[in-house]
Amino acid sequence: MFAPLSAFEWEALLLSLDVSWRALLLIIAPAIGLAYLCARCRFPGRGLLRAVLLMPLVMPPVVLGYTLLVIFAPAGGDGAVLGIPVAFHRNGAALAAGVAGFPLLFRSAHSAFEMVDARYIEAARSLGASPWHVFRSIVLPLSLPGILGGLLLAAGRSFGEFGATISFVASIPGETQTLPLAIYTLLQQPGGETDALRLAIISLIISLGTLWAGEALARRVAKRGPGEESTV
Amino acid sequence: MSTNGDALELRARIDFARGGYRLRMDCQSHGAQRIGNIGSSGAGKSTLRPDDGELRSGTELWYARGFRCVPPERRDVGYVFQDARVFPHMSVAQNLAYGRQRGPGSTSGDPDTWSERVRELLGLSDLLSARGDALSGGQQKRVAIARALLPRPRLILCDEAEAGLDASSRAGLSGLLKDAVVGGAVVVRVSHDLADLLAWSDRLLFCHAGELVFAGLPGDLARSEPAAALLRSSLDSAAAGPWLPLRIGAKLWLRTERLHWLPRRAVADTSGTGLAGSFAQMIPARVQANDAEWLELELDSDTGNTPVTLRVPLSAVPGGSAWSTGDELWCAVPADALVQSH
Repeated sequence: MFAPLSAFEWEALLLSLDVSWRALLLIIAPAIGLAYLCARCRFPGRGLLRAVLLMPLVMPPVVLGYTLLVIFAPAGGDGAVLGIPVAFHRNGAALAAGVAGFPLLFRSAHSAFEMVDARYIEAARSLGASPWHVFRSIVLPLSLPGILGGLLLAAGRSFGEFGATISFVASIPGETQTLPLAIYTLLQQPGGETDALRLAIISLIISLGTLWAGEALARRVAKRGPGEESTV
Repeated sequence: MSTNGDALELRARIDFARGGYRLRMDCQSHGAQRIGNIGSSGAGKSTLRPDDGELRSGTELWYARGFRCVPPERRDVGYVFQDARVFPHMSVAQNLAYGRQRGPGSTSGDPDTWSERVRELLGLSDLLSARGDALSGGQQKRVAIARALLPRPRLILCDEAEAGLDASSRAGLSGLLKDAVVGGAVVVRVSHDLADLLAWSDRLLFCHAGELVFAGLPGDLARSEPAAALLRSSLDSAAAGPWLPLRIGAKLWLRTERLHWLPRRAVADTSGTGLAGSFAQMIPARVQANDAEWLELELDSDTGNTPVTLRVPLSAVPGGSAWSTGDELWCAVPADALVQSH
């Protein structure tokens, strides 16, 4: 039970971290950008766009994975998007994990942007700031704690992604078999319970550690003194 | 944007309705550099600004609904908001530097001297490293004023900028606005303080219930109906400010229970004429003369004796002040000390 991690366990753990890292990289800009668009701009179809973007939150993960399969790896195709291999590849696992985590980041960032007092934006514009500069210097810093919180939730969701991943990219050891998939595989084998339990404990420790670190980071950001960007 | 030299000519035309409230105004600066904007709460004073209706600067259209025009960040306007809106996550120094991104303003003067003066007159030098959300209300207001004035904009909009300021910061603000006007800027001040605006403005706007009821020289305000009627009623209800302008020849009543501000000698003079006995009521009087320091009142005695003249130093009247508008000299004393007759 307390033996050092085996090669199989290391593989699953590192793959999971790699996949969730890629997933976050994939979604961070679109989620924040779309959240800003939906929170602060008025355009026809805004409500519908918001609903579509939040869909992965309420869809059965298996359906989500199947949808990704149909879109990105249709039968007869080579399973690549713009030359980047996706189907049965860790890129595909990252895509599934990212899509699953997307609504959590989108939602938190959306609320954070909505909470920014529009009067600060008006004041900043009157002082000569362009919309992009207002976003960078006013909106983003004021909504950073909310965005970080969303990033944390999305990271957790991506790390634990199971249903969409297994139906989109299957469970290939070393390629798409992340920690949850490895636990599932072990549970299917006779006598695999002890190993499954070890992996489950590792997964719990990582989740707890991420949450704790995220809390500490959010506290620091909220309390942070003035940046050292510019002075009079 | 128009360059230095010629005064900025502004025209604001507003006609919009929001939640049962309709605002209709059309006004022009007519070359004035000190524009006062007065009216009771909710009259539409703050709305008279570049974000609603139509605003032109000379021939340049700054804002009009449905038109492609100059975006707010390129309008060369310094806006002191009613609520300070100091950015909470930045230091005071960063807040002050924020307005600098528009580049040097178009009014004349050396930018470094100006920023030194702004910081000094508003007492900000010790606050520079403090965070915006750590400031008190008055401090935030000072930072907001400095932030709007530092880029030396051509148009300065002060929405009740002096509210919440201590006496020395008020004096600092009025000094800075004076400098800005000398430098060629147009200043629009929204305020509830009629005496202050009458004394300061060279053009006065009076808003009531979403309409502009008066626009012209401050001295003409009392002559214009319905502005004068509204002014009287608002002065009676004391909602707009406890002030009475006293022009030469104005008839008024001295409210005897408030006469404690009269100098002792003046009371002694009147007591010799039999007026003392009538002090329990209100004494009719007429403004004989006024200057920057004295208010000369002629009292009608009810005993048939010759009228008594009182020279009251304005310094003896709590809050009394005098000003000139063009050729005329005006005095004002708190309305609860004197009551204007018809």
